[in-house]
Amino acid sequence: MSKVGIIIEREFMTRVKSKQFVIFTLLGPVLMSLMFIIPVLIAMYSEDNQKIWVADNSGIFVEQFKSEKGLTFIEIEGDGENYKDSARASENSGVLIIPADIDLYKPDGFAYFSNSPMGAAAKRTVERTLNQRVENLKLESSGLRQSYIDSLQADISLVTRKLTEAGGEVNSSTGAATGIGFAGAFIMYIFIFIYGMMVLRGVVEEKSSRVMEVIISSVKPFQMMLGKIIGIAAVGLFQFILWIILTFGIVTVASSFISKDQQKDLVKSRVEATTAGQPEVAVAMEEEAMGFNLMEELETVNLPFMIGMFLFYFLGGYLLYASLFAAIGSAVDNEADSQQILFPVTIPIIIAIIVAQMVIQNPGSSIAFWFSMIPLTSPIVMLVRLPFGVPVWEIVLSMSLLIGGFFATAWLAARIYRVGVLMYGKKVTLRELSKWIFYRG
Amino acid sequence: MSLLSIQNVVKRYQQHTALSGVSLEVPQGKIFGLLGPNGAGKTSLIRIINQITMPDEGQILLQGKPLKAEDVHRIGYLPEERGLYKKMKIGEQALYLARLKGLSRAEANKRIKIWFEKFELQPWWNKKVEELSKGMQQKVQFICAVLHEPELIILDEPFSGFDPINAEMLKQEILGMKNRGATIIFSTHRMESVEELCDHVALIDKSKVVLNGATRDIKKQFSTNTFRLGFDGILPTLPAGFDLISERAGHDWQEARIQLNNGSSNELLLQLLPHLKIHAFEEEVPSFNEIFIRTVKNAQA
Repeated sequence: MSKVGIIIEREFMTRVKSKQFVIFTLLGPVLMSLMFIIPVLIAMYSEDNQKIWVADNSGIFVEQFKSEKGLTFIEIEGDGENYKDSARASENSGVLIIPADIDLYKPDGFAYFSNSPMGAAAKRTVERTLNQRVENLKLESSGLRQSYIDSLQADISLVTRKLTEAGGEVNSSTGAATGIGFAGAFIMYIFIFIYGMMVLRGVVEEKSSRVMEVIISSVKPFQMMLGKIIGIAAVGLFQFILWIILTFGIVTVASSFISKDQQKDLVKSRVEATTAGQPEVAVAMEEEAMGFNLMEELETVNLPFMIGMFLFYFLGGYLLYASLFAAIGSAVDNEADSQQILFPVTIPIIIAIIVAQMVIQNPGSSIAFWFSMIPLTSPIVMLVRLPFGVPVWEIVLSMSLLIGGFFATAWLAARIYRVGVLMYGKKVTLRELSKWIFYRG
Repeated sequence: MSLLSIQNVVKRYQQHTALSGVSLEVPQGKIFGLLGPNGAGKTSLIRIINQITMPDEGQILLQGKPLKAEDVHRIGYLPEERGLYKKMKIGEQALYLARLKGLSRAEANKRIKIWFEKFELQPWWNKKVEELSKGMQQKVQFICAVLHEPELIILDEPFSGFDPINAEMLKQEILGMKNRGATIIFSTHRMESVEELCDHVALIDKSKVVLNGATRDIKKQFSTNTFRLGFDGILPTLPAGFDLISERAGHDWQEARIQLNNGSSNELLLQLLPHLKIHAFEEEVPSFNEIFIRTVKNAQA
């Protein structure tokens, strides 16, 4: 076994066997699954049905209110004042009082009384119902027939289809693309930091425990650095794969408890709640809301390709930053000292995350292009762009630049590392580091 | 026959020169003491021999051939700044370091067992380094340095942190390795262990070799030919060639120090025998402590 192999083995085994690794690996998927499961559970069990007593003194609105799931309208006699006491005592009820004389051109005086704030959805429904009625009445008074008014309403929903290079076209789902791209970029950002810092801490540990000198009397500093970086990369990939498996496992098990019908019901009720009275919108929304049924929408994004790309850019980005982190670790005596010179290295990562948000707005812009080419930012920015579709040549160029970038930073880092690991008690500045690059021997 | 030949080695750092034209021959199968005040350049030289850093000029030959990367397997190194992975079990740690020195896993395991038995570390195999006492950590470190049975062993302050019993055990191990044919470079500030162990000594001061030779020759070189005499009676006038340096009443008898400029110690004794009752008579052999201080001070003057 080569020396680098022996180092990789140690770096991998000591970390994988550690308690932190086991805990973090098990806890990660639980937290991630909860992100999927909790909203479902909340939707399922929040059966708080809101009751609204409608006291329509004008008599022109009351027929328009249609009860829906979670929201019940009850027509009441009288001016509504008599229901205020009931509303005060009840947790989920309120009185909607509509004044007797309504000037259609200046409608006001509508009021809702309850002991708790009105939900946003309920408020929207009530307001829409009132507005619609007023608009219709005005249109009618101008002499238009109701059937004509109905036919006036248009509802256009834009279907976004992406032209592929092969000449075909596929459904492109902007929502899913945005979500997946940004989630990927954010996970990347966190991973690069977690595992990059792991490399830094490992190097600092070797230096501060003085085991460094024993080891570099056996292996070249470059082999040592490489072994550590690759070993930790293996830890990262291993953890990532475990997370995917465990998360899917947990989500699958959990969703088997929630039956398919229940899921559909859930989606439907949500759709109805937001699109009351507009059937065509409801159909479109229902299609989109099926994204709730995660897999369907993911299919338009080519998941295996995305996972493959994620792994590549994770490895590339990690290797690039890890070598910089290793160089920094070698230059300082303890972790606290590293913060200061760590800052310039973290700036590109932070810029990348900021640019990523701009890229979501406009995935084809030249900012998106350039930042997905620069190796320091491409792992994050490219991931955001990928779900929207990126020409093959751009992907190939970006990947090649990333590989090239890794070799460049690794070379640079190795030059700093070999000097740094033997240097103690020296306050290190970036200027000092750049001098080390040109030391010989 | 020298195992290691250091030829004209120069090492410069930004502000200062650590080694300026150092040449030394380390004889095969001997214990070679590498002495010198702090900051003289010893560690720089040791690092160059270990190929941790490269010399700016000059070269190092191992058995007549320039050092190669694989030669690290033939060298064992115990640095002055000790260190092991604190969170790693000592057995695994020794195994790891041995494998990095080119031993197979099985061979390394076998040898670690033997050494751990010898140093009474076997029960601690699965303990982490941070759980061990300092002395025990030092033992582990020493074992790691010699496990691959190197031809050349470099020990930088090997006795620091050891109690007298363990220090004695270590000394016997070092002598044992020498008897088995290993060459040992021994760097220390403890002159008494130099006296006990070293066959050959080199003293580096301010990046230069200021003293170099077999222990016996150096002692002879620094001998002042002074003898210490313990006696009862009245000291007669000494003949020409013998100078009385000092005389005083000691605890049990009179004491005098006499320098021999020409003539032998036997002649002196013959002169004195009729006049005095002699209790003690011995040559004042300069200790390495004195030699060290005198040489370094001379160099400064």
